[in-house]
Amino acid sequence: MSKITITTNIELTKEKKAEIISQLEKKYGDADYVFHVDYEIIGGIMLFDGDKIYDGSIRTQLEIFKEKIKS
Amino acid sequence: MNFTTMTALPLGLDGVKIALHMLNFLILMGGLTVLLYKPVLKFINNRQETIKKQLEENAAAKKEAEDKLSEYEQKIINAEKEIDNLHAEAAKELIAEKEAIILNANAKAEEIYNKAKAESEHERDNCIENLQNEVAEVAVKLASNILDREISKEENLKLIDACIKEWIEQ
Repeated sequence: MSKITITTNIELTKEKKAEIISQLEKKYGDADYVFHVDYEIIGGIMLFDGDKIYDGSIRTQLEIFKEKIKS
Repeated sequence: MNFTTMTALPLGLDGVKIALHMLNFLILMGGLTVLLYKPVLKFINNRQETIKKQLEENAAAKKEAEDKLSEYEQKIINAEKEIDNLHAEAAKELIAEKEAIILNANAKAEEIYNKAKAESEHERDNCIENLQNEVAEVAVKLASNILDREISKEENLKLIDACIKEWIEQ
């Protein structure tokens, strides 16, 4: 069984977690879904499926914005 | 005929005496001619030869001296020409050296200018880059603080839903 790690900056309710798992099962099927809280990401969500990182965090968007300003 | 009476002359001279004196004179002249003429003639000839030789030697010496003078004058002219040539060459070398020094100085000045310009441009680029970095850091820090404070839970959840929807569709 694959492990899917989901990171947000807020503690999600059980209902929200269930909703997210329900959505993700369409892609990953039966997996071990682990939720993790990291306040540093400011907002949004990060997902790691054991092979690939999906990064929808505000922190990363700001980093991209910062690099654009620098260049 | 009385010869004495007939030939009596003043000063007690007479014909015989005069004749004897003349004979005596002729003998003397003959002796002198025999004894002195040839040696004197030889001496005179020798002397003439000597003088002639000396004149010839003097002429030769004069000619040699004139040749030497002419040669020395030519040497002086040549030396003066050589000196002029050396002066001209020295002047040329001096001018060439001066031009080389000027060229070298110009090249060095250009090199220094280009180096200073490059350093200045590099420094300017570094300043701009540092400024951009600082602006980016400050802007992102400010944005982070604002978003951290201002983003609502609902907006955050919407963002989470949008991300999941996008990833599933991929």
